[in-house]
Amino acid sequence: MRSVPFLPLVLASLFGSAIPAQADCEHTKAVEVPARSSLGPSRECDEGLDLVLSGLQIAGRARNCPLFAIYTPTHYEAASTTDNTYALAYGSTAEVLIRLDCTPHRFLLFKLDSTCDVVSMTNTAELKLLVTKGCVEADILH
Amino acid sequence: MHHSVPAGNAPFPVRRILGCSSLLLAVAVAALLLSRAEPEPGVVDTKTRPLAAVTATEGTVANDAKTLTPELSGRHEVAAPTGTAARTFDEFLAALVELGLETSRLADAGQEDEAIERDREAREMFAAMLQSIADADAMALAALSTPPPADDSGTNGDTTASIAAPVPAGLLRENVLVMTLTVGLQRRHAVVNNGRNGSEALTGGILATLQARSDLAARLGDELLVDKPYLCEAHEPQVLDLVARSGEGTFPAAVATALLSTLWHNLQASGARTSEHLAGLALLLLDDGNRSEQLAAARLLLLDERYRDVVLAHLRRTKDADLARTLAMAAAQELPPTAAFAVLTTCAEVTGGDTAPFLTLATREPELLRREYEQRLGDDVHPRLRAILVTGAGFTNTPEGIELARLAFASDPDPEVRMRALFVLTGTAAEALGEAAIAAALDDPKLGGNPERLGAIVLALENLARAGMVNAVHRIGTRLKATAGMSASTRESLDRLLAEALPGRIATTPAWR
Repeated sequence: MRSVPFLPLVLASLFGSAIPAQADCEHTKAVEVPARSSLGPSRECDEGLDLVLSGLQIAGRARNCPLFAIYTPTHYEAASTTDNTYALAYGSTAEVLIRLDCTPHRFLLFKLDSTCDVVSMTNTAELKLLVTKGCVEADILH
Repeated sequence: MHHSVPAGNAPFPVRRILGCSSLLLAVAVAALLLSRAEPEPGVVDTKTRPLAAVTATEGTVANDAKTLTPELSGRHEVAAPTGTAARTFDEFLAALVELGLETSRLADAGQEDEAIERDREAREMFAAMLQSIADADAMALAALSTPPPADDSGTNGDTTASIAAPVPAGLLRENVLVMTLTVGLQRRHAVVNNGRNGSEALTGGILATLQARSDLAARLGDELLVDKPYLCEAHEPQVLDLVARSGEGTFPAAVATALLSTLWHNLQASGARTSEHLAGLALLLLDDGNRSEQLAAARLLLLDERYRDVVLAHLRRTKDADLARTLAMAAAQELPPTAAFAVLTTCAEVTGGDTAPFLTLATREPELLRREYEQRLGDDVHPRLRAILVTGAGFTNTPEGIELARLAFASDPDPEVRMRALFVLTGTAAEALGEAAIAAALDDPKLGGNPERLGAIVLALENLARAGMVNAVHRIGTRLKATAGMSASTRESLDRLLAEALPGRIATTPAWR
């Protein structure tokens, strides 16, 4: 009688076809893409931008207000690997377009107003959240 | 070919002298300016004389001040100072800060009219300072060269007032000093003596202050010198020293890069250096310079048609994503649209495709992106680039952009491109097209029929929620909840969205915060 290792069998029964057999292994891994922000072209409005989104500071050049900011949160991309792994999606997040506008100044000498305001926010694209999982050896499953 | 040696690469003693003497140099330059300062025509040095004693030229003084400070007086007429007692620069500074604090308190208390009146007084006092103290800019520089007073409240120990004031005294003091320098640079730059620009010494002093106080990089570097005509050949060693410091991490790289780019631009514009000379230097720095030097060099070469391919080849070879992002934004803003597009596609190969430069370019010429998209759609090539083009053009909020998104949503064979189009339609035309587009996506076997795409559809639905389309969110949300195959995380996102968006439970704080 052929013996079968217990753990892989349990994993296979739990996840079924979600775990590719080694023969079908994608040989991919999840690679983290760190959060970042990009600012659009600036316009003069005598005040800088100082915006904090999810702990990431978005700072614009003083006296200018960017037309927009694009916030790309931390996400993952699948990359090729020689390892017997695959990148499994466990959720998604969105790239966000933040439109900004200058508001009029009340005081020219001492600028008291926050003059770079968020006008709107829009999701522009889906970004994947991935995790690297091991492929299960085919001969163990059968 | 002449090559300047960056201070950071200079022999140690030179580097150390530059590093240790920056503060002394700034003070020395300020002192030099003070000793050389000659009153502007009609401006009387009244450091020791009461302004009331000046009678004959009073009217001329006021007119000059208005002419020389258009950005300060342009929106409001600044009255000629009358009856102002003699003040030293420090006294003017303290009084202006106090007026600013008072203005701030009044504005914070909703006393708009009173705040405007205080602001008017501040303008008049600022004009009076410029009129009565000819070398106010040099004094401002000297004041900036020293750390601000320990007591930043500006309230002379009155802690109650400090709590009430929403604007710190230190910031107001800095505002006054920087504005004084702004005016000083403009005034001095208008004067040329023996072939030397009048702003040269003051600019050198500002750079020396930056060498000593990197915390002022944004205020003095970015605000006063970047993209301005003041940097010239005489300032090259100081700018290169700041660039070297940025390589060591002791000066902000973005400001150093911008200063170097401005210097090179001014050198070329004035004829002090030829474009060939600067390009030769940039070619060297592109490979061997520090980060600031590389960015400035790549930017200079990119904007010169003769060397653009060299930069793009460098990008392909190094796969430097940060450099690609910088160059893509520069190209999107400054190059002719067709040339910019070629740069953006190369940069997208390195970065994976950023939205910002394509959106920037589309803002300038949306038709270009549409043409490029249609060409690739016809050939069914470059689906990743097609997706970026749809996003870039679509989010310009123009009819052309929305039309492109409609075309892509209806015709593009690639599901990812169609999803991008769905984001455009829900984000920019939510009321007219948003709900119908999501419904069509749910009917599409490759979109709504694919569980892996449902997460994106929920994110598109969030755009309708932000647009206040409560009923549409309810209808689509109900349908989505009944959709089979949705992952647990997507279902959780959907439940959260519906809980926030449905009537009576609309979140006041968006989920992204």
